[in-house]
Amino acid sequence: MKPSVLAKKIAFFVGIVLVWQALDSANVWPDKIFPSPLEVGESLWYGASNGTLFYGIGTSLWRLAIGLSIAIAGGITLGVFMARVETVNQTIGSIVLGLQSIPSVAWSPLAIVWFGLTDAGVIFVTVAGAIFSVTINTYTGVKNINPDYIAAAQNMGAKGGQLITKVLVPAAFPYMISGFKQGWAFAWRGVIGAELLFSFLGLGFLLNVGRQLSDVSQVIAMMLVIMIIGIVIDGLIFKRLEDKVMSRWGLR
Amino acid sequence: MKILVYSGVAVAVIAIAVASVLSSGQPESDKNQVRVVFFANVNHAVPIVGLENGEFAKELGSTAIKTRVVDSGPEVIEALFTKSADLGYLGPAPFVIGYVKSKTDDIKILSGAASGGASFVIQKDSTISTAADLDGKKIAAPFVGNTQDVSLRHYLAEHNLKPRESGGTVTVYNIANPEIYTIFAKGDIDAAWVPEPTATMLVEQLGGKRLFQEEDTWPDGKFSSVLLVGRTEFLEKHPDVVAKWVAANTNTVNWIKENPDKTESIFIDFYKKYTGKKLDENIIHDAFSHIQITSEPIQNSISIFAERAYGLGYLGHSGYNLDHIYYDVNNGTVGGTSWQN
Repeated sequence: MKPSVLAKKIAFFVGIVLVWQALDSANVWPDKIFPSPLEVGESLWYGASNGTLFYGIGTSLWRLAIGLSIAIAGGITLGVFMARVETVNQTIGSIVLGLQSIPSVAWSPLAIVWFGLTDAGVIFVTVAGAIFSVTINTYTGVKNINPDYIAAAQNMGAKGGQLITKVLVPAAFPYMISGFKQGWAFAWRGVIGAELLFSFLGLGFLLNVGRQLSDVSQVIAMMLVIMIIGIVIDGLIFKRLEDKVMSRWGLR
Repeated sequence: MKILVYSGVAVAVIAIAVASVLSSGQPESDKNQVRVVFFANVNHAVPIVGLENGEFAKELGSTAIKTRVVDSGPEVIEALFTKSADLGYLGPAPFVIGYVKSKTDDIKILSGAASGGASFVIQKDSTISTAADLDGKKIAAPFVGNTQDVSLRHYLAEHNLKPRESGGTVTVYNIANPEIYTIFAKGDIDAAWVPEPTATMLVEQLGGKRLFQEEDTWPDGKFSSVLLVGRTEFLEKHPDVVAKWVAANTNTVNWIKENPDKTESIFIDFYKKYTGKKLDENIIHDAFSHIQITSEPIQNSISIFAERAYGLGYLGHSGYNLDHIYYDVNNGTVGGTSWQN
């Protein structure tokens, strides 16, 4: 990052904190509904010092990892089949877009009934939220492969599994990467949303605890943590992965 | 540097937008009415019976009464804080948490409404017999920061057990009473620390065993479980209405003591009206036998709840002060250090 960009960013964040502090000092709203940045910082500090914050982050990330892995594996499979087998596309394909439009938390009541208040329930919500964007992107990617590549591979004797792993998936990979990126964002929302509703461990649960204890600073603290994890995972994993794939595939 | 100016303007615009949204919605606090929140639990019999038999309406005369039924103490606190309620019935733990969090004595105790009425219930084939057996178990209590939640978590801490979110071994589920009933029935949990009538329903309908009643864990065998509290601003503005309400509260306590049978049938009708579920008469009879309806707030139990909540980190981390939690009805003054009837 260039120094000037960094400076702007720092100035922006410092500005937010200053405006926030000024609003708090102006006492427009009582402290109990509008805490100062300091109080939010304190909430984070206490969460970190007694470990609950790290257990919460660990639990949420673990659920995210499992849920996203299932969503990616399932989404790729479903996407490839939709693109290659016309019947699958005509049947399952017709509802994928509809399913994609269901917000992941809307699966929570069903997940509670089916799985009870368990990790499996939260993971189910995560998968349901993420799998269809991976599916759709994989489908688009495979559909957009130059048919000559597939014909050439088939002429050379590739078929079935080999065709998929050696030709279709690599060729569709740039699209699939955007699918993963979208899928991860949906998965993260799914995890937090489900944890809020399930109220069973994780960052969403800690956020809910803040609400139930009328502790607005804890609520804001947890929202910040959720956001920061989002930025970090996106920047460290998905953006890098995308950049690498794009340059390796000669797309930029 | 232009970008800095733009971002500054953007932040200001957002702040103003947020401010105007938050300040919109005129409070209803100036109308000639009182808005009351309570739960559909047996230990909330005072508001339920007093409203159903017309005692409150009789005492309040022309002042309109608006009621709302909620599931948990934290919801009562939210309603009081956001000025969408004037009076509320709730347990001592959420009251203390709300009082300390308000920082400016926004709520006060007017009277008690019930004592006791919570039990620790285990599955019928459970081998749990002592606190040590709870290691690795799944236990439910309604809502974080509610009275049973504070009691359960304190009980665990007392016996050196930690919940999973703090790296311990006990899974604590904080969910509403009807959901606790459902997952208890499915066998997903090993035990539940619940108020009446849920505790009795778990025992009589699902074959659960009542391992102990919460009062057994208290020094002198009794603790406050429901308080009548008010929003300080409302108390200051309408001392006459508040005095009438407190008088009706006391009358209802006496009426309930004199008419246990009618109380039970009123509660069953109310519960049917509110949830659509008809409760068995025996269950309600048993549930009432586990609670005491009283206007005494049992002051030392409130202090103990505060200590326990503080120990759990529910009251922040920089000490707390309960010097002004009582409202003196006789003088219409707020800020009493103790409760006077």
